[in-house]
Amino acid sequence: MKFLTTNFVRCPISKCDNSLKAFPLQYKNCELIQEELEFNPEFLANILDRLNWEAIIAVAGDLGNDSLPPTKPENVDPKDPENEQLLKDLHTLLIETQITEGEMHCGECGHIYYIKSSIPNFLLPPHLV
Amino acid sequence: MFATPLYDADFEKLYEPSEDTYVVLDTLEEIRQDLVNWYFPVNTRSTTHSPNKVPICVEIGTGTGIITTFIQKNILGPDRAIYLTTDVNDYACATSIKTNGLNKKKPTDFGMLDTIKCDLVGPLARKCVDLLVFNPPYVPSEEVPDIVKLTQDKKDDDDKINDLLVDLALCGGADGMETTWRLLDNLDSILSDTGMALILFCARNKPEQVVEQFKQKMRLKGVEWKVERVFIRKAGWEELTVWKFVKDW
Repeated sequence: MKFLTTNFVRCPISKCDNSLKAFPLQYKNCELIQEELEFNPEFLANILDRLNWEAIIAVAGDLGNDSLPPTKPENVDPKDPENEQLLKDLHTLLIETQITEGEMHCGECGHIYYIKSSIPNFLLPPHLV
Repeated sequence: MFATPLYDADFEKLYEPSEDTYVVLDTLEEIRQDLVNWYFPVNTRSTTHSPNKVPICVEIGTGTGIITTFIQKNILGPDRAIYLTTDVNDYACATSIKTNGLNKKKPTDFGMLDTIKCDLVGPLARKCVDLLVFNPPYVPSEEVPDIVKLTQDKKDDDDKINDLLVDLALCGGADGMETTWRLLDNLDSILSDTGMALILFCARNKPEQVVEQFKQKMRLKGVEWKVERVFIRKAGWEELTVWKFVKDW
């Protein structure tokens, strides 16, 4: 599971639908690997728009990374050399970082979802469907 | 014509690409320019909709993953969209990632593809899907295998679970529509406002009736839809069609 994907998943249990605590999930006991991929500054600059930055910071914190800017960088020109380090850091974090094993806790209902062999499992037990 | 992506999997454990899969690939190829114009309009001022700069493309029940890899490689491009595959079957999830790797020139070629084990779109945030592709279990059957039960029932041996998972890719219950209706009933909260769904039907699903019923149900929720058939192919006694769903503003 790539770090970026954590920005799009929440607790799927219906009673957590409207809870602000069901997103982002809390990541615990995670094992990470880096998967090397080409750096694509335009892609990163373009996805900034749709990222929930607070959730990025929260999950990065769960995984032990507290070095992100506290507010979302705006209007980042991918061709401007001044932005290169920022975009490289985001590339390393969002695209290259994979969670291979770990737990995702819902802050509302407490349900724990597991990541195994890099695949997050959100199938629900029968009593919660 | 674009080549079918390479794949390599154990077809006792997942649904092998078949006529229906090729219908989806051919649809994507045929409407390629419309999709590109929809997601990446050249002049945003002249269009009535402003899509997300980087669309999220989700394929439900990915199986081998060739459909998503096909879209990434040939339709929207590896560096212009985020690709997510879902499946209830671990092996399919893993295979969709492997398929993507098999079709890269180098392992480090850029691409943002990830996979989620879940039912339908599972944990995805509301209204975040920009392109949804679903080749559902559309064959009418007495019942839909109970995925939750079968993956938790440790009494069953692996062979039986694999058989059921392959069945699940096919068996759609009454009219072959049980799984598809579970998706359609929530489509308004799954798709972004500029989102589009491409869904495959067979004639026995009675797609014309389904579309009318869908529009009526959605009208009650206050959402109007534009739905059109974008592809048809007769394959032996079967007729497969692909329908495009977008919100009508």
